[in-house]
Amino acid sequence: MVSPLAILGQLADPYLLLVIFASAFYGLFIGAVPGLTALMASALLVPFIIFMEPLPAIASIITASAMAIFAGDIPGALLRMPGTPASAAYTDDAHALTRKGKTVVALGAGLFASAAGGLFSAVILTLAAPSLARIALSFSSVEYFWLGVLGLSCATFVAGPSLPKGLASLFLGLTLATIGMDPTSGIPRFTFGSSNLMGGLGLIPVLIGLFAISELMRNANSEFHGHADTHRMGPIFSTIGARLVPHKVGILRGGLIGTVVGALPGAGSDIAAWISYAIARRGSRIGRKDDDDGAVERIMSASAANNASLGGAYIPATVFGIPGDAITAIVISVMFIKGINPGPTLFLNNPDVIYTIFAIFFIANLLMVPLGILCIRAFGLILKLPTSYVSPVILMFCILGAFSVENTLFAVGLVALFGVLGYLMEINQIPLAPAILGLILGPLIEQTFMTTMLKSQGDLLIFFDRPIGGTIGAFTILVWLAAIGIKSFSGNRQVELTPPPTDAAAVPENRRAS
Amino acid sequence: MKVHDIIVGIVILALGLCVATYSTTLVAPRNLNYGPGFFPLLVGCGLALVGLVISLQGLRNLRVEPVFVLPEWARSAQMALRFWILPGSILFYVFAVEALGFLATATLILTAAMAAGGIHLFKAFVAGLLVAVATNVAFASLLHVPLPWGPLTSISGWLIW
Repeated sequence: MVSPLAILGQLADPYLLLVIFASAFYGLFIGAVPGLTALMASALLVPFIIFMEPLPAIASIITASAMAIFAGDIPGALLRMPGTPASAAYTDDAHALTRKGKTVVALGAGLFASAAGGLFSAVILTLAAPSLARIALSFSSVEYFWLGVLGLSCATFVAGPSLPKGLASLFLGLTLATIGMDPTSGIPRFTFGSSNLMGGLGLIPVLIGLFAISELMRNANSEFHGHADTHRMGPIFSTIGARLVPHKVGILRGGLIGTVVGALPGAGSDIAAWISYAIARRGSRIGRKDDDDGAVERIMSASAANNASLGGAYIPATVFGIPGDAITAIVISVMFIKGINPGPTLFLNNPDVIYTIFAIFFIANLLMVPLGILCIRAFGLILKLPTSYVSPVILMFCILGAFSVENTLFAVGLVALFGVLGYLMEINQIPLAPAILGLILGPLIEQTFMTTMLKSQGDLLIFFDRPIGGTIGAFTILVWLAAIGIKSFSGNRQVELTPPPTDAAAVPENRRAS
Repeated sequence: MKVHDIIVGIVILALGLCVATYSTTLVAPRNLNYGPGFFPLLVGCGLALVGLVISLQGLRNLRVEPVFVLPEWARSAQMALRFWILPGSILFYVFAVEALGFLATATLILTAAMAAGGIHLFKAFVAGLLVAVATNVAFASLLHVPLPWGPLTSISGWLIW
């Protein structure tokens, strides 16, 4: 058992607290600028955190991503332009409140619900992860194989309306994962004689290219103009304090949906927000109403969900070493670089590290309230920074991010290549999330698949032999059957209804990375 | 650069076939039943199959969707520049940084990208230089990333704290 004093001792490190504060301001800034996402905030942190101790490095990503997800609400409410796709679900509701002069209500609801959702998921993470880790200790290659396949399946099914395109993205990611030395025999594959490819493709350059550069390319010709009057807002604390109690069920429901959706690999904060919003709109007595109270209920439910999903994603990441989304994929790579191997043994070998990471979730979400209010007040200043200055600086940090992790110019070249590929994929409505999860989970799936196949000498029944493995396997197959059924039913209805997308509008907000 | 789903499907199908064909050339070591090509072969076949499905689905709305939608950046030279300067600058960095050093390469990239975004060239240069110097100090001195110094290599010792 870990002593709380040991955790408090780790948390009292002034350097750690400084990193948390700096990351909070950074995350709020990135999230508040439309077009810059929480994932981009995390990826751009990599060159800085790679030189830190493990705890400050992970704390930095946790804090920055939580803050960025909340800060996305601010331009959404004030300018009707969600700062991150995770805020897109309730932008219209929040902006409608702003037009009625109730900006404080719209943003305060988002802020307090975000913090509450984040805290809720932190509680679930702290309670559920250790018990799950105990179960995971008995897992063999079969269980890990099915968990990987289940994760990839979820990522593919929720990625977009077209199942074949989601699958194409997934297989592309798996193909990219096979580049380099074969994990079983050590024979090089798809390396074409290049020593740069022997170790496989680095995750960070591919991720920066696919998500950050492609996002910059898509936004290359859009300038964000707007004027936000943040001076005439009333007090946020007292206005929202009274509103929290009637909406507590909505916040709790959002927190629960967010944590569960976040824990599914591949389904990120934007999907959590959309699901929670839809449930609040249809299934809640207050949320169904078209008045201000209904809007606040929907904003609170969805806002709690998108922040809760961040914590949820750490459940598979810490327990199984399987990332719940692209942000936790970065965290896992950073953990590996720092010599911490995520997975059930982490709970046995380094329990103080893991509980301190959980504690950082609480700190980050509590810190969100005062710093969030500060960011809302300062939003007018953030708007004055023209994107023409911001984008080139981000581009430079993308280059440095890839270089500092891999220390090769080849990695920098990969950023450009995957930037163009990511742009082409999204414009042609091929989702990016399955590809990145395929690249991350590919080695795990291949290794566990090959080990199991070699062990059983080709007998496929071994995949259903063990009770837990067999159950996860059967569940995965059921998920497949259900998803194919739903997709083919809704697909037939959509073909005639969907207008051809234009280049600029080809990517709906809810399918971009959060 | 949106193209019709039939073309998207054909590209994916071709890629899948290439992956599958290459995988068959990877021979399993004698003591193993399944070799390094087994998994990529399955993935390649999957890729080819979904490529075929995407093409076939595309046939259904052959007339509804245009074969090629002109990208947004193709509307003007200025827009094309703003778009292509992003991957272009990264490639420029790869090829120029060893010879020119980080400071000069970063200044050039930042100045060009800011100027392409509509900022006056002199202002862009000043901003680019300031950002490049600050980044160089931060990365080389504080984070100890081995950034190339180019012509300044001989005096780089004075510049790193």
